[in-house]
Amino acid sequence: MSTPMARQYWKLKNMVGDDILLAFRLGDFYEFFFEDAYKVSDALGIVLTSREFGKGNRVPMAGIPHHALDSRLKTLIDRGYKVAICEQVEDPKKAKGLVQRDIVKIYTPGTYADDEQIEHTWLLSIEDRGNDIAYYLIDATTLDFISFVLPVSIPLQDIVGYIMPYQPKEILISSKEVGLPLVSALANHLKATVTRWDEGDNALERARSYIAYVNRTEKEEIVFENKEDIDYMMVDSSAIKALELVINSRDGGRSGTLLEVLDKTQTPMGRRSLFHRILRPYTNLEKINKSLDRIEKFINEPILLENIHSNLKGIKDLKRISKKLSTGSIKLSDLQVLRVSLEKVVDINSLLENSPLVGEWSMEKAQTVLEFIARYLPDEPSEDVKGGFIIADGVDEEVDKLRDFIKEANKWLVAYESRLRDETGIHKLRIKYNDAFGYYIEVPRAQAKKMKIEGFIRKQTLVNYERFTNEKLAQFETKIKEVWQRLEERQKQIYSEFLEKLKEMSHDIDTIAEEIASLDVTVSLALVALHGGWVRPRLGNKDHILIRDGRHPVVEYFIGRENFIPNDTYLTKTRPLALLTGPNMAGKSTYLRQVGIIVLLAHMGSFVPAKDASIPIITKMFARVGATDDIAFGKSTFMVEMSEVAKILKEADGSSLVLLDEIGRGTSTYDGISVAWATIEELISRGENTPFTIMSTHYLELADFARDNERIQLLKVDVIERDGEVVFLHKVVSGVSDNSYGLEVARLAGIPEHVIRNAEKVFNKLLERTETSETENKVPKRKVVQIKPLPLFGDESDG
Amino acid sequence: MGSVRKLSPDIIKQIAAGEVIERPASAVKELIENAIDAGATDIQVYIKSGGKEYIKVVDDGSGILRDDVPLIFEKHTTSKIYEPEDLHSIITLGFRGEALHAIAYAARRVVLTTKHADEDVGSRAVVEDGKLKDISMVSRTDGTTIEVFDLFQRLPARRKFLKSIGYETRKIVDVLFRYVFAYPEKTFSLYVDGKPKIKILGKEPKDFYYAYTKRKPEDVNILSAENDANISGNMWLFFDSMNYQPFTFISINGRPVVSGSIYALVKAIIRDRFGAEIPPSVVLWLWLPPHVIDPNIHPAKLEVDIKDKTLVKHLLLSMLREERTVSVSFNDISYQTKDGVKNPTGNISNDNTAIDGKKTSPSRISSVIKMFSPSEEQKQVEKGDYQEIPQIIDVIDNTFVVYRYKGQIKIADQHALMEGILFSILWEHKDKYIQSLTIPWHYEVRNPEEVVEKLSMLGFESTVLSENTVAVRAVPSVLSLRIWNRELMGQLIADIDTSTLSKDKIADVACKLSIKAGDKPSQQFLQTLVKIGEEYPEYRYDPHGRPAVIVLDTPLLEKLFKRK
Repeated sequence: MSTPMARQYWKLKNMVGDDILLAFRLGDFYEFFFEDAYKVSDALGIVLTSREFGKGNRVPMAGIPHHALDSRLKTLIDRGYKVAICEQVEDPKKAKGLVQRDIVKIYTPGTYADDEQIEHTWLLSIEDRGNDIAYYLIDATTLDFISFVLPVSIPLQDIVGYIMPYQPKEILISSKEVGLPLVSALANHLKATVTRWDEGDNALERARSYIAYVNRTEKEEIVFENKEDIDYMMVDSSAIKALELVINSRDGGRSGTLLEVLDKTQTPMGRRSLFHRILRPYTNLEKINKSLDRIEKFINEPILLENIHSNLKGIKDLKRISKKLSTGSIKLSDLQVLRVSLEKVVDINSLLENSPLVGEWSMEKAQTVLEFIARYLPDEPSEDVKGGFIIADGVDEEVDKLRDFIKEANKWLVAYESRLRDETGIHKLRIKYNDAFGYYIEVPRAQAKKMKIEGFIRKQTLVNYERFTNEKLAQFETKIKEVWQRLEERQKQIYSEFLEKLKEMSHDIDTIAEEIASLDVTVSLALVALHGGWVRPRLGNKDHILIRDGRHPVVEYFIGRENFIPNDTYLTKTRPLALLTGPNMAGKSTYLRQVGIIVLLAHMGSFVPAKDASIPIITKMFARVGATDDIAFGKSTFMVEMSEVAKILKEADGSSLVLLDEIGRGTSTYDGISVAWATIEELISRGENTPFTIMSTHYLELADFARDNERIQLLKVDVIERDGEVVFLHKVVSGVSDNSYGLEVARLAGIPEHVIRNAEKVFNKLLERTETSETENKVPKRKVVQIKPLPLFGDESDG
Repeated sequence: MGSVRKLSPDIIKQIAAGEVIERPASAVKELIENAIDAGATDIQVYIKSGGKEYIKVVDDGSGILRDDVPLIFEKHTTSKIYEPEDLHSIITLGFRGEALHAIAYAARRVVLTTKHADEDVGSRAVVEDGKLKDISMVSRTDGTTIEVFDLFQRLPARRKFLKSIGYETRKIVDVLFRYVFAYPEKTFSLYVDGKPKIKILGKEPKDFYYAYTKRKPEDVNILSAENDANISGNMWLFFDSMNYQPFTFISINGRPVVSGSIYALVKAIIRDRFGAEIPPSVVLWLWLPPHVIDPNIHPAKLEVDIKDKTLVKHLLLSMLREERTVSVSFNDISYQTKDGVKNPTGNISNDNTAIDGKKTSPSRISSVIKMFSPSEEQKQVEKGDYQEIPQIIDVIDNTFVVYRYKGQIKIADQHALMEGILFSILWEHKDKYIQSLTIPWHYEVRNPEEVVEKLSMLGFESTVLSENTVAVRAVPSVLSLRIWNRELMGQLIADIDTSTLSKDKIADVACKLSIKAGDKPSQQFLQTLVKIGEEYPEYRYDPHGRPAVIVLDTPLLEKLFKRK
């Protein structure tokens, strides 16, 4: 036989299904039953116990105390679970029979962000549209979204490449997308949960209804904000990976990325905005110059810059708070946070008003909202509504009157206590209150005899005291409890009116959040530029990329600026392609990457690490640098590279930048050289539509073919060989490298000496064989020399 | 009996090392001095655990030649048996090299990387247990980096005397600030356990004040003065009524002074002038000739005794007596308006600032531009047009300067251009602004009062120093010191000393003082000349009204090629 509670449980559990854990509120605990209990016990390491459920049944149970919910929840979510929270929705004391319960919120990996979290949590909603597939990335807590539409023909690793930087935790699909191989590939790569949801006509609508469902709100409440700019530079997925913009190539984490080096933001909104700015740089000259102007102004006012930077620290996640406000899930503590943050915004605003940056960011509304909040909320409110002090004095007549009454009543109580002392002659007589007994008169046991006066009723005897009451006190108690009750009701009423009105201001709060985000990003970029000695790039020329003494900001951050050799870059419409030769580990990849990063930074509206830079508007960037093949996708290195080249040949145009490292490897020499050369010829034959291109290769034959071509620049990384010692100078200069130092690197890596000696012999034999060929580039006979290991490894040097 | 027993060389070394380098802060000081001697403009210091565990000093100075590397770790004296007297000389010599040797001896490990501008590759040297282990080639930029690991590991006695990490760190911070204020034109930074502790991001006096106190001063006075005994000084005064611990930094002849009677003197004078309530903070630079200083140099401290205090006292008093504050800049050019409005900032620019933009950063570029043109006419640097500076293409026959500016090719007659500029400035007073000289120029003349008056009519400010000397204190601001100098000034004065001023006379003088056709001045001279010509087109006509600059535009070329 089942009990009412069991029935209630099953009703709710059936609503959410097997996939979602149900946290059932029982007293001070959230309890999980049956299968849920096993899962939770395992995931959280808590004891599996049991309870009677229904008549005569013991069922498995595991529970967490209600105050530990937040931290436990995070652990469960991280494991990929979804959790539905079921609360008691009426006051247990007032309930007749079973307390009413309802599911108040469902937490899922793709829609949940805890209070401490700064970065986005993305939900990925996918829609199969036949010829192409639409991908929507949605942050359920800030309601930002980003979309991609990619053709079905695009390789899997490209799709992963586009989505990877966002690292969505949950993938939403409808029955149409079930079975698509890309879904499981994405889920595996991203370690994301897959959720099937069919309510909604398209992927965006589905996401909307899903989020409404988990938040237990109406769909109308969910209004997405498009985070997209119409015009932004298309940075292709391999470029995002190759340039290590937001994830590094080692462990997919943040360390060693451009984001890390640029990030001096102090607010969550700023951090997220910086993330977007990196992945979607501007192509609008006005926008870029506006950002550069602001940074320049800040650089000329370093003290102001530092002040604003430290003031930004006090501002919390206004965006998320604003969303909580509109969906009705805002807590009192959030309001306090909002208030403190707004105070900081007002401070910042006045700093800016008296500076050359006046008017750049409009945050005047902050004052209005702040005043509104300050009027209603006291400076230090109680923890929750029951505490009694939620609404400030002077807001509502009735509340003020009730409070006055309570003040007077307390005064009366004190006076009465005094009177009683006189009357009874007991000096130690006290009137006290507790929740269990209400008001009582307390006297020391020894003197209790004197209380044998009319009207005093003994209520409780303790070791040292006796407690009494009398009619007057009882009346007082009744009356004052009425007043408390009324005060609480009235405050609750006003509080919800207040919240309603504040909700109307949520749009203003959103605006403030956006402005602060923009300011935060500008301040961050200005600080980096100021500390690093970066310069303002000049954008807008039509026909060349010029970088003087350019540096790779991440590498120089780690090895020290004094150890980083700066290099120049000069590509023009008449000479758009540069071919770079030289040994590995000598700086070729770093050079390619720094060109990409500097061009990207310029389009972000940031200063750049160089002595000077003149850059045209680039609308597409392609990069394939370093060995980033995904054998996991079932393709070989060469195949992957050829797909990349195919894409570039198709999509690159005169305002694109193409960076290709080690073109033509992964297959036999002649095949590689032929394809590489044909690709080069094709690109330079396109005249005005030739993209700005830098290619590195170890095929010296390519340099041979390129020698007399006026459209190709020959570059090499300089090496010094002296007294049997070889040093890579990391300097890129004109010319062709004559040695790839492969054998030296092999010896350095630990290949045994006798093997190296043998390699030397083989090399020289091969040389004799090709000596008869007509290549001008004579590769000299080899005597393997010593390369000193880079002192950066295995040394105690700092950084 | 009992002859003086010779101390073993090792022990002497130890003592000497301990004497020269008392604590991490002394090592840092020595390394900074090395960097300054190498001409560095950017010096970074990194420390861990108060410098006891790790010290790194990075500079962008001239670097060390590969062949010199082994030498710098050795003592300057040859290796011989040390007598106690030698010990004394080791302590008092205070040669730069002594310090590095002492550091290398005392520390567990020292790593030096350096690159000299004349060499194509850098060198890396490792010293371990006091011995030079290895020198190899390394790629790096020009300059020197020294890392010191576990400074006193090999001198346990000295190590015991070190205090807490906090104390040693504070001492290093003090050292840094002494140099920051002695060399404001250089960039210093300090990182403690990876975090920036000192980093001055601006170039104005208030930025320095902020770096030291984290406060903004209510007012800043920038003062200077010169005495006829060849003593001169510059001073910054910071007024901040809420700063209860005003500071004083003094440097003499470029070296920071830590203690000595000069401090008492300065403090007394300031107190007298401003009252004892909350006196201003003071940064003072004094330049004194050798006979005024009595050096008592201890390798760890610099104490300077001033023999003739009264001279210095008078100098300070005259500095403080200035009715108007005078802006001071550290390469001889400063900036003041004739009607007495004070220039609120003293722009400090790097010694190496050049017009072609070398070795400048964004904020420095704007201060260079500020210096060469009055603020109202300051041209906006055009964005996207990267030829806002005239680029000299060639000089024909050492007479005609061919240059490109804003997309046009122009040719200037160098003599006519300079003549035109000089004439316009001297006679027609096209310039509204004058610049003060940090150290005035003195000349012997026959009629000082007359000369002063005539100079004032020409736009110069000068005073009578004695019955036959005048001191020129300020020149018209466009006469940048790249095309005008002490000699030319002298010639001008000599010329007008005994003759009346007239338009013809001035035209004559302008012609005489200008460079002639066939002269070969420096690139910077020509660059400046051409730049002034571009910024003030009205100067480009010689006294006879002929143009000094022509534009090679299409109409002219068509005419020359007889197309029309």
